[in-house]
Amino acid sequence: MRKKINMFPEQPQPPYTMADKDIPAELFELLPEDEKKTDVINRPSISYWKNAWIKIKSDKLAVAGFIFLFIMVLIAIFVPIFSPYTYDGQDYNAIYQTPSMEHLMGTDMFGRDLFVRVAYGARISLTIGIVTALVNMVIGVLYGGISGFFGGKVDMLMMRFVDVFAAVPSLLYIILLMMFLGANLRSILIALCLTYWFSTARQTRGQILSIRNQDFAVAAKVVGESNLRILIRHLIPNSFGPIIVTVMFLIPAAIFDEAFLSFIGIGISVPVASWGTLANDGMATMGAYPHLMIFPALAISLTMFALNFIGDGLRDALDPRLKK
Amino acid sequence: MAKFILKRVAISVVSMLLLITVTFFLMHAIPGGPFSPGEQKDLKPEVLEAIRARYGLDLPVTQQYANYMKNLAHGDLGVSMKKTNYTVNELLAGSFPVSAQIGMLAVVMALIIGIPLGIIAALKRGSAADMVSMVLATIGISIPTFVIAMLLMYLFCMKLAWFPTFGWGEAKHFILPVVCLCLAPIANITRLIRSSMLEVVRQDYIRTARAKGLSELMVIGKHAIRNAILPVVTYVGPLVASLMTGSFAIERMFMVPGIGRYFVNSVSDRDYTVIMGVTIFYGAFIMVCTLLVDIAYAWIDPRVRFDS
Amino acid sequence: MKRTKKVLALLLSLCLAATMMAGCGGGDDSADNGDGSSGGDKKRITYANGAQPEAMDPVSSVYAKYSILKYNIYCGLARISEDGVAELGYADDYTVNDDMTVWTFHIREGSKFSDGSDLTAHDWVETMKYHCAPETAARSTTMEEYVLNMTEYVAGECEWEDVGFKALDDNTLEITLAFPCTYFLDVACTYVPYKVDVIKENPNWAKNPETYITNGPFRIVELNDQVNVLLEKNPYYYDAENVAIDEVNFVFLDDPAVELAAYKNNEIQVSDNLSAESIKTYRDTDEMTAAERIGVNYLTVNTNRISDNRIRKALAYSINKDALIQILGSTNLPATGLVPYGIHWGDEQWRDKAGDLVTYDIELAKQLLADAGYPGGEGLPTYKYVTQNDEESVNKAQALQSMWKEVGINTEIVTFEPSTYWDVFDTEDWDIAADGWTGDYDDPNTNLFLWEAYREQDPDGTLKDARWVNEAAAEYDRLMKETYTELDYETRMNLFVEAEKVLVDDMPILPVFFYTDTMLVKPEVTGVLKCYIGHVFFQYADIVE
Repeated sequence: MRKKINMFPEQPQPPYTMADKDIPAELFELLPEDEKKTDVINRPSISYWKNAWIKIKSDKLAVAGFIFLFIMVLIAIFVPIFSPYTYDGQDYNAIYQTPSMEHLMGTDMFGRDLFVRVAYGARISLTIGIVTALVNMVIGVLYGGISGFFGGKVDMLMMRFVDVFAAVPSLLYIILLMMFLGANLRSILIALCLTYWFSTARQTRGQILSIRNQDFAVAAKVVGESNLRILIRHLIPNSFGPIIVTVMFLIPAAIFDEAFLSFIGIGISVPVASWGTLANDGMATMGAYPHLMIFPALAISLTMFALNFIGDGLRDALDPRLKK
Repeated sequence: MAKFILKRVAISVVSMLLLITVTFFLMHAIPGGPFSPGEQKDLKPEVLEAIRARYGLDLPVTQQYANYMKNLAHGDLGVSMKKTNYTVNELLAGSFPVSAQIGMLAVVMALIIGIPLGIIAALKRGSAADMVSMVLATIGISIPTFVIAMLLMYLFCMKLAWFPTFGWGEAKHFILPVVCLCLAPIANITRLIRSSMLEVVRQDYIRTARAKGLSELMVIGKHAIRNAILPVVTYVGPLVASLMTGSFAIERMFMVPGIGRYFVNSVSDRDYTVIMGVTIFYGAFIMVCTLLVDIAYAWIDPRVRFDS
Repeated sequence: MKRTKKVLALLLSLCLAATMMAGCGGGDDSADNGDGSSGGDKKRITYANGAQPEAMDPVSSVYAKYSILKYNIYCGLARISEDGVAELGYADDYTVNDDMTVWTFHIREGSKFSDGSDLTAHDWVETMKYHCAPETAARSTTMEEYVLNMTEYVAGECEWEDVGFKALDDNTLEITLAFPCTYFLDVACTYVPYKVDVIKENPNWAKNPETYITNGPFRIVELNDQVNVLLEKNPYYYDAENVAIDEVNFVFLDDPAVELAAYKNNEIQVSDNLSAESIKTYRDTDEMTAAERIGVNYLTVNTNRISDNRIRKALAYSINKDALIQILGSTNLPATGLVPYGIHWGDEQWRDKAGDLVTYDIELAKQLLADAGYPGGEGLPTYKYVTQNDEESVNKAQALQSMWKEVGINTEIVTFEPSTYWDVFDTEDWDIAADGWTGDYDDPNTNLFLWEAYREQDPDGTLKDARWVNEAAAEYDRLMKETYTELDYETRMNLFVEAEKVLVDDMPILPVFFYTDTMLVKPEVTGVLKCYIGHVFFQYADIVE
């Protein structure tokens, strides 16, 4: 690289022209055009998020996961609207039908169309997954952020509190809470939201602790920004990558737990059905009508697959250490 | 070190107290109780009152709490309100070994299968072997345990009749529950090992080992695995705790007489003493396991001690 | 050093695991594992008993789960015969006075408990005295409602000497009743003798086969908590020579799907906890038997909230019971009244003689609704239907919901666990509640007493506000009262007919099913008896190759 370097910057440098020196002009040659731009960064600068986007686009499994999830969301939204059947419409002339063109996944003991019920179950399960993840992200990030940013006594107190609760098996609390609140969607959401945020909080705190003394944060402080602003504008966005990965994995966990609760009979109440209740109902007749168990089980499992692939993809994309 | 341990023990004790208190009052806040007339329409209300009084349920809740804590301090978890003539200690002593047996077998299986699978996946990164093991690992964490249990039950007990559908005590009764229980841990261990292995093989000392001409077997076996296996240690602690305390779904489906069945049934039966007993046992067990792992880790890695 | 530490740490966790495993090794030393493997040349039947009874002793236990075990290991003064009716058991003779209030039983000479000790009239008295003592606070009831002053003794209001239950000598038992009772022999089947001295000495007697001393056709030899109870033939049973089976294994399975698989695999030979799927599979085979049980499944209506009996009737007439039975895949019969099949009127079924009182008639239902001022259900609130959360109840609820929707009545289903359901029932915060009852003896009273006025009261004597308390109820009560003193059989039966008509005409309850009991028995097993209260008896069974 041909770059002019001033070796002696402390020396006065009087303005001079070529003519001042007795170097003959012909000794100079013109820099070739193409070498003039060598110090320009040709590659456009790629931000963290853009880099992540590029990486995730090339991750086939993650893309497949996204596509699957997108289709599932479409099914959840539109199938119950446009299907000729409803999730609770009974038809005693069509009970226990195996899959056919009329009923894509067959019908159950009441002659209800299983496809619509699975689609409706997707609404419940996806709602639970997404709402739980979002609520927990907000609570966890704020809690962990405050704890990590202020440090010291505040941090000690707040983290001990989390330690104490996180040490307790959450399933027990979820079950007790469910019995206390009654079996419906709202109670499941409350129970899951109350018990899930510990991990997000811990992780955020760790992230904040590691970056709060970095230059950009100190600079913001020097400039006189308020603590809250520094936390929300600078620290949290900068630790968002790993947090989003954690939250991403909360979605399948919440769907899993709801399915489990419904499976043991304390989840959603009839005639609405989630994937867990459908699978549980299907189990009773799995010898004679396996399709009633297989389709809901497939729906849960494939969605889990998609979410896990997306989660893995996000983690690879957002983890700076894995940058090649 | 001593200070660290002391601190952790203190947190655990506070957690336990909190756990006990919250559970106790939450439990009493749930509608219903262990003694409701049920379908017995010809039962006199006075009889029920007498039974309630016998179990001290006629006292105010705070008084009941005080009594319970007093007994607990003597290691007495009380008598079951539903399972007449059984003390909670007896129930735990009878059912925990069963859950612990299948739980431990599942942990061992998970380690035996998960570790090699993860190593292969990491060493042959991007190959078909990697793909296969990662897909397997994703299956393990994607399909809920109860779905796997249903499928195995359907296939092996109903269609093929290779395994008995119920009963307890012989090897043939263990196989399906253990298989169901170990799938998710296998998946998790495979993933853990794979990612830590990937990181380890990039380290300089591995390059050095290769450079000095060690065989690939030696490089991996002697240098890489030892370090790659560490994250598994942290994972195994809670895993041991959660598997050994029983899985409700598995125990229900395979008719395993373990502790997991009490876990949920006691709540729906409102068997107050059993709810408390199982919670305390379960909570304490998990805390002890986590504590042991934390101590082990703090011992290895001094940074942990100062970090928190 | 650091590496050693890491290796040690790993070892530590493995050791932790290993010690725990070793510590738990003691768990599998039980030789018997509760599966269906046959015990050598012995004739053994394995039977799935549903979930394990909560209590394993006859004082605390209340549900059928235990009763089935109870009637195979205990035997009363009377027992259920091979034909399913009451016959003399440990009593070989009895006399009764003219107004049917004093029953004198003669106990068989040489009666023994299963440990070989003597069983005399005094043991029968001791049993009753212990069971009914206020300090025992027994959860289960036997015959205290019938015996003179027994209710007072249970309540601690009188001494044992005042109770009409006396041993005249070692072999004579005199029971004085509070009111005339023609069916007392049926009642006597439910009353069995305990080894009271052992029970009092050892509070844990019911956990140990050695102290579990009984007097029935079988006795307990093995008791594995949550797994099984193994019974063997009791050599001291008075009728032991007619018991052909050597061992009966009661295994605890709480899932009908598993039970069906176990039956298919021949791991169990008798199965009576049947799912819709099992019924469908075996419906037309010889392996399945269905017999009526004297129980009725009905819905209780909160008459305070739904006070117009036309609406109540509309609810009743819009239930298509045949469709409901078909959907649920059950073998139950549509309830056309409240006294079920299995109750006899002389040699005939009581139900057939009394006729059908309520059937499916959707047009009538719509008409009644219109008459009440709600054509097409317009203006009616959404009714709250409460039920338990087991599969069959929930399925029934969903089907009913859709049937009522058909006539324009909207309902909301709220489910509760069995443990809370009856508390919710008592709060009366519902419009319609699932309910049901299985009687104890072959007399219409066993079902119809449920709606007598005294049962509509709270313990303090005030009337429950949701229950049936109008003029029709008063008339019903009057008719029922007459049946207790009427000694002429035909007149008494006709009083029941009249009472039932009053009840169905006002419809404070909506009859749904008459229960039937279904059972699967392998072809090589004969003589397994399912009686009218749903209990299974193995003493008449045999295995023929």
